Amino acid sequence: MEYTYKLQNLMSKSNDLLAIRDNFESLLSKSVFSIVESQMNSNNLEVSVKNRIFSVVVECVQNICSNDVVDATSKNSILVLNKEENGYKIVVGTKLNNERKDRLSSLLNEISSLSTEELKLKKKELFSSREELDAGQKESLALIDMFNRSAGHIKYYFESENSENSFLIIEIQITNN
Amino acid sequence: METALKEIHSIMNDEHAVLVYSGEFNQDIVKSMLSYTEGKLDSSGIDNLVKKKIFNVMVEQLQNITKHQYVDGEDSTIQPCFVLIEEDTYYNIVTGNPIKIDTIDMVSERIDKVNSLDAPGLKALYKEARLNSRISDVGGAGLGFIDVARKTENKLDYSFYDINSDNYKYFTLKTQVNKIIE
Repeated sequence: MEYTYKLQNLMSKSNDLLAIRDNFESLLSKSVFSIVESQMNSNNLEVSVKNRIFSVVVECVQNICSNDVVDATSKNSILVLNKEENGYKIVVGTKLNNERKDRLSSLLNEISSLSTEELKLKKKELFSSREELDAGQKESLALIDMFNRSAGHIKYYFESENSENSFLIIEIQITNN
Repeated sequence: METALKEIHSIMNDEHAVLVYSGEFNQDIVKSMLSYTEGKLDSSGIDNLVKKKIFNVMVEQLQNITKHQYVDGEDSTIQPCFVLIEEDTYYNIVTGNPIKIDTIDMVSERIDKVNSLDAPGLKALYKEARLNSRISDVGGAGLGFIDVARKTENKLDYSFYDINSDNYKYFTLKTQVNKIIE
């Protein structure tokens, strides 16, 4: 059971409060958020900040962590809630095959290069045909929302696991301002 | 990256942990842990009786952490911790919290005593403990350990780890709830 002490040690040193490992296929965003929300209640966060965190958690759980391109039965994704001095950081990690890696890499590079106005236009364009969006467009909308909600405070990187799979980590910072 | 996400994920993968919470425990946190677990169990179509057992054991252990989470004048990075582990045939509910070194012998004796008894023995011990118990300012009289052992019908697994303190160690308690009732 040394792992319990190791986990608490790792988590408390980096101010991580919560880690959920799952494939997020059958988990409702609501149940993930209920656990996040209980942590935020004691920190007098403004409702608007809570709403931003909730939206980001929903997008992460539904569109980033949840995917059926890698073995859907294994728990290949992780969501970590990190407490910062002026807000929270949501960190997600998920295993990807090369096809999804290329798609998300290109989307993240494109979206992070856009201005606020350009993001609005892109969102509007995607929203006009939202009933027939493909996987990439859904991910695009999710990422735009995450960039908007965090005012662009997003870091991401890919780690290669083998010739077929990579691990994507995205950090989304939501502050009180 | 400030968070140790990859390392945390790797340990969780190795141990089959699905949920880890490390930080202050209060009523809201306990409620949300239970609600999260309920959602998870509902989606896996688990037997209601098993679900009830998991809940009861979780409540007992989470209450225990809530009572014993505070340490006086020690490093504030030593936090209580809750870990839920899912294996094919059972769940493990693991808690960790700092414990005063001078109470370790008493806690070990209580758990060892519980682990040495069979079902009728535990029933008798529970009755006796209830009759003789006096609730102290920090918790019960070991009734929780007896209760958990009776509900899970499994032995309690525990350890104490050194945390560079003259007064405290880190106490971990693991209970196993089988998914299938025999």
